[in-house]
Amino acid sequence: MSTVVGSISDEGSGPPEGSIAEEFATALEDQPADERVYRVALQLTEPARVAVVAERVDCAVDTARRHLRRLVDIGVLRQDGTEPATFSRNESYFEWRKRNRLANLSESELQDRLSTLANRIETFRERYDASEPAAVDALEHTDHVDIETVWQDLSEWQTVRERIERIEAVRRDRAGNAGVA
Amino acid sequence: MADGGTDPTRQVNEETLRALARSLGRLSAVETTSLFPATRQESLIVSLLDDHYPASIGEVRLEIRLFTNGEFHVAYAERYLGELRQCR
Repeated sequence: MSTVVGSISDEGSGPPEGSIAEEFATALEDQPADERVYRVALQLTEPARVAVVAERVDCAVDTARRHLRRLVDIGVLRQDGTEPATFSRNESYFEWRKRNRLANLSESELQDRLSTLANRIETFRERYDASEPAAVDALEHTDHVDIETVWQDLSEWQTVRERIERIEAVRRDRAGNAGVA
Repeated sequence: MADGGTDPTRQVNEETLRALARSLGRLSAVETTSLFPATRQESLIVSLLDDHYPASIGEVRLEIRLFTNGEFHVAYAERYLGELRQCR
């Protein structure tokens, strides 16, 4: 570690300007069109027209349309409108993906995840002296930390609760299937 | 959709973060990527190699959070002479 240091610019050896961004942009551009369409499709939280997707992907409109229809066929996207055709994420597909990933884990792996998530919940309960995120008044905690950090914690707390519910649902399904077998 | 969410349209955009982790993980400047680590359950943490930084700077990382309502947060953090510095 240096003993005498000025500002970052004083040291004159910062990262090459734009190099990471340029390498990232090049890597994305080099992906095949179907992967580029998929990447954009993952971000279609609002219905988008084919031409808009084609522009974001930087491919021909017909190419974008072909890949978008394929993504509708396999359930990743849904087609919201026909004149003009618009597409958006099919959230039920992504929920299924999450459950499917969990279903492929062993019981001990699920237990490990539950344990990690339960520890995180306990951290939040102690930090905010509350049983659930909805019971926390964010403004009461801004003397210690900034409000954005509190909101971030409450968001993560809610996400952890949902992950636990999802794991429990997968375990119930598994137990039910074992009972049937 | 999981029960209990205050806003069902606001879920972590896990698939995009997974795709980002794969893409970013292949960059020469990236040391490691960590998706949803134990104490950052909504985040993709991208640790950058500190080769390009002055010796006084280490533990350089990006933290990315994306949600299905289009909301996103990106934070940069580094340790400068042992002190954590960050911006978002």
